[in-house]
Amino acid sequence: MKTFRGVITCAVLSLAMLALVAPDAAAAPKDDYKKLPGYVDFEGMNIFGDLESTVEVFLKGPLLSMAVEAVRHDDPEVAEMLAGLKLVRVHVFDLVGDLGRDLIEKSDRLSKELEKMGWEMAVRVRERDEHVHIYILPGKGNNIDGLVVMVVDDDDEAVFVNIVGTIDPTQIGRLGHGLHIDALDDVDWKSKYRDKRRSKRERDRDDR
Amino acid sequence: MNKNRMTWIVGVIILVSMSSGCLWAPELDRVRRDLQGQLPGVHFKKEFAITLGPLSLGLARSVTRFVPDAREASTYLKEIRRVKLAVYKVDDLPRQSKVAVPIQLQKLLEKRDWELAAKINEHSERVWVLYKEKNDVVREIYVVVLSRDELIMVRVEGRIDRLLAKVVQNHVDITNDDGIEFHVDT
Repeated sequence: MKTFRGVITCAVLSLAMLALVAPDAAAAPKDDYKKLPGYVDFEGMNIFGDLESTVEVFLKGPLLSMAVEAVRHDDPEVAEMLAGLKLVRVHVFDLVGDLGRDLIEKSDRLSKELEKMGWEMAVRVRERDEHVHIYILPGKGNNIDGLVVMVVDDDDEAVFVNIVGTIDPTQIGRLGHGLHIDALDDVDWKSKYRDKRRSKRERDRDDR
Repeated sequence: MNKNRMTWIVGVIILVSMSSGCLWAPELDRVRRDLQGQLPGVHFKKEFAITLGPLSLGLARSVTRFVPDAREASTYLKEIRRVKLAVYKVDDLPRQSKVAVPIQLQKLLEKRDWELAAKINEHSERVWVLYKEKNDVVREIYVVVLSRDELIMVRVEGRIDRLLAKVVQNHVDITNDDGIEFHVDT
């Protein structure tokens, strides 16, 4: 996690440097993404309060379109995945004093809120120095509508990520790899999602 | 065409071209002044400031087209309509944690077309990256980087999407195992 700021900066600049948009796309209202189910209103839920993040990234609209067109030729699968995204939002905080403990409490609170709203926990790591939560919002078919990643590395920094849009869960690892979000890249999403869907089917069968 | 007449034509072209490029960028200087107001004690010394319009860029494109090592630059310049660039040397930057978004940038963000892409506010570095979109296309990009040594501001207007497409084609390896990576041939 120590190099996360650097790689996020690199990812932003990389995406900012990626190319060519769909010229016939209609202009959307500025905050249109806020109405999408996968959007998590960190401010409205008062998750960060007065905390000043050291890095804030907002990739949406034309920047994401640019990424799509740039990778379409070399990696059409990733392009297709990026085409479904509406927003990638990242907040990074430097942890000083008791801020780590404070943010761990906040990520626990946010986890409960997300579960109430129908989000499913995909990953939870609670170690002495590191807390990781990854939540997904199931969408239509096999896809998901949103993703939230919360990493609090007590010695270093905290990272909150919200990815909004239609995401193929089996491609999340590639998405994390492309955006340098280690927490996403480290998980075997294919088997995890297969297990998740299998247990859901079993639950549904038992309910019937 | 006689030689004297040719000299006049070339002279006029150069004069007209240069007249659209100014060796200052007042808009960027307002951002510098705003940062100065927020950071008491800091000293900014101008090293370089320039505004290049369509004519100057056209001239630059024509020149680079005939220089073998600069032909790549010529293809990039084709997509740029206007560039404002300013570089200041920074002395005595205070170690304060909070620096607000400069008012000039804040005013842009209040407009409908401008968006914030990234904001970095670390111990020794502040970065703001803004872009202007129109019909879902990036038309302008505005970057302000304040570090302990330098303040760099650049505002580029044009077909940023096409420009970046060319940069990507030439310098970005998206299939790299380490994610999206830049490479610059030296």
